[in-house]
Amino acid sequence: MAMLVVMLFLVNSVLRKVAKANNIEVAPKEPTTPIWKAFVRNQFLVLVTVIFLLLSGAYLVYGFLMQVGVDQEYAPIQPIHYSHRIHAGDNEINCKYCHSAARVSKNGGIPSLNVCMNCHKNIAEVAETTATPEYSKAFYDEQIQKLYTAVGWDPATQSYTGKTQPVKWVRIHNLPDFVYFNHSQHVTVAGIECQTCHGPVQEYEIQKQFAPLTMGWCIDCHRKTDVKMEGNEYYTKIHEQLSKKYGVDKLTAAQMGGLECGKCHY
Amino acid sequence: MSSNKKYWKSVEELDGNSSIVEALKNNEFVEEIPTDEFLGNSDSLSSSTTRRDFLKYVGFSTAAATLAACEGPVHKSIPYVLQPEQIIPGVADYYATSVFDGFDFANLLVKTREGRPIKIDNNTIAGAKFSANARVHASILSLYDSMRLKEPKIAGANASWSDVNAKIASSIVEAKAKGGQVVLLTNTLASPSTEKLITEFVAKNPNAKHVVYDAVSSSEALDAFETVYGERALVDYDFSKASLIVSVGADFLGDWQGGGYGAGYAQGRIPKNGKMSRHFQLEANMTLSGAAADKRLPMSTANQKQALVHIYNVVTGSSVAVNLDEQFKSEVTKAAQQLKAAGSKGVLVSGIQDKNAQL
Repeated sequence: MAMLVVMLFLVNSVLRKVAKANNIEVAPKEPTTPIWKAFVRNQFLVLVTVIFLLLSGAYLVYGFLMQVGVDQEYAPIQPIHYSHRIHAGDNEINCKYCHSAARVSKNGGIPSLNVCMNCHKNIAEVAETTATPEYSKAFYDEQIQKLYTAVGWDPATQSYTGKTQPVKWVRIHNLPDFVYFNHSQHVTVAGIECQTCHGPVQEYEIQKQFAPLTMGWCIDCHRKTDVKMEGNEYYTKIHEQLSKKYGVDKLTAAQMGGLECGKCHY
Repeated sequence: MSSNKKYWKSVEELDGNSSIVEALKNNEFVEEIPTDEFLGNSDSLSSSTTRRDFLKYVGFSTAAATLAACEGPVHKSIPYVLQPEQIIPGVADYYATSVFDGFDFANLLVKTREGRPIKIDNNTIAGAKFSANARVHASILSLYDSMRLKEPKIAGANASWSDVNAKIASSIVEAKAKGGQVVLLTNTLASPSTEKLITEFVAKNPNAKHVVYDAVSSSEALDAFETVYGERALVDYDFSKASLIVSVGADFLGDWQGGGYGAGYAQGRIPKNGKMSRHFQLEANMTLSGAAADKRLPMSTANQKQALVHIYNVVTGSSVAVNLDEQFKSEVTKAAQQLKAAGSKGVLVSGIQDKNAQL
């Protein structure tokens, strides 16, 4: 393509030289109106351009506003590089072993360090096979040392020194204060898998936020998912009464009145 | 009116034939202003007004910097190093306790989150009959009172517990040697175990005395009770069982003798089988009990005492000299007669701080 342009240019200049040599008049180029003046004079073009700019401006502004406060893909650097891939993935530790508060409380709960020490009292270094090309064994061993510093564990004497330094984790999943979300209702009563909302955590080397956690996202799932009635003591009484009244067997939380404003915003 | 007023523009107008007034009528200033010079000078007209531009640049860059610096805050989450078994973040723990501040006693359940008390509720298990009034509910805030005494004091200066214990022990020995008296000054105690401790202390140190002093005292009622029954106690009334209540100066719906009578009283006032309790109130100042009474007689304390005597006369049929104002006589007589009729279902309570009245 560029070759063609170059060729044309060369031909033009050769022809001009030839014409000059033969004393043939080559009509000089007439001055044309500069392009921006022509643009301004063309009303239709101006209108179209303005509309295009307005629409694209609106699109960009709307896009910006809609993602204010949405922290999807937020993956901050934590004080201790804790790898869910090693613990929940390779070692297949159950989510609710460490995050036990999710079973009973509205918070999911970041585990206190005594839970870590349940295993790491005896595990002072990682196996050779755990290290990846990206993170060496020395790197992981260093993280375990960080845990020992925080907890006050002296591996040499195999005892606690009593000098503790709590770990200041950077919180990733955070809902605004005007929203109420209860983990135990979803985890224990509904029996929803953690990965539904938090993504494939067992594959994450660094923990990140998988879902947008916007209200629309919550409502969307509530409109689609059926409430787990069978075998669920929580709903026995109400299921008996209401299923006869309404004659339905499967219903979503939305149909059950789960979308009332006051349920989450009180 | 406006047409009659003449507005003065300057002091010169006082003077009848001042030349300045004429000049002022045409120009704003008395002196000549060289406006032509100014307007004719094209240099000074076409200034670039750099101040305006400066403001534009400053404003724009401030706005840009603010917008660029706008980012979400970083939240930290710091769990326990060693989490106590009972504490789960997000789940409230309830502790059963009681409160006694020298005036109110209540059995409570305190709701705590992560070890911090946030709400006081009544303890409703069987046997816990003292419920919290408004003051007790509000006392949740006094748990966070930074002015609360944190350590014991010797002569007004803070001291540690070990110092205090040593000093007390040595002082008691010293007092015994000198033959002086040791006084343990407390307010009315609510705890039987504390009382037992103090009795043991007094028994062990014969020169020791336990003095009970309250800011708000019911000692007259206690004295009266002691005279009649031998031990110091206050009567506890169950107003729900009363069919007639005559109160002489006793605001029993308020804080009289410990408060808490409101619930029983309210029960007695529910009409059942066409009956509900009747309430006479003889009092000097305006109280809630007086407002709730069926019949309220305002009378001074002196009159109240006489009324008591009169009631005593009517109820027991004896006649002691009485000096009651005539206006009250008939009402009190009626009250007294009904008291007599009510028999064991009548309650006569008196709030006068006088041993004789309480008797």
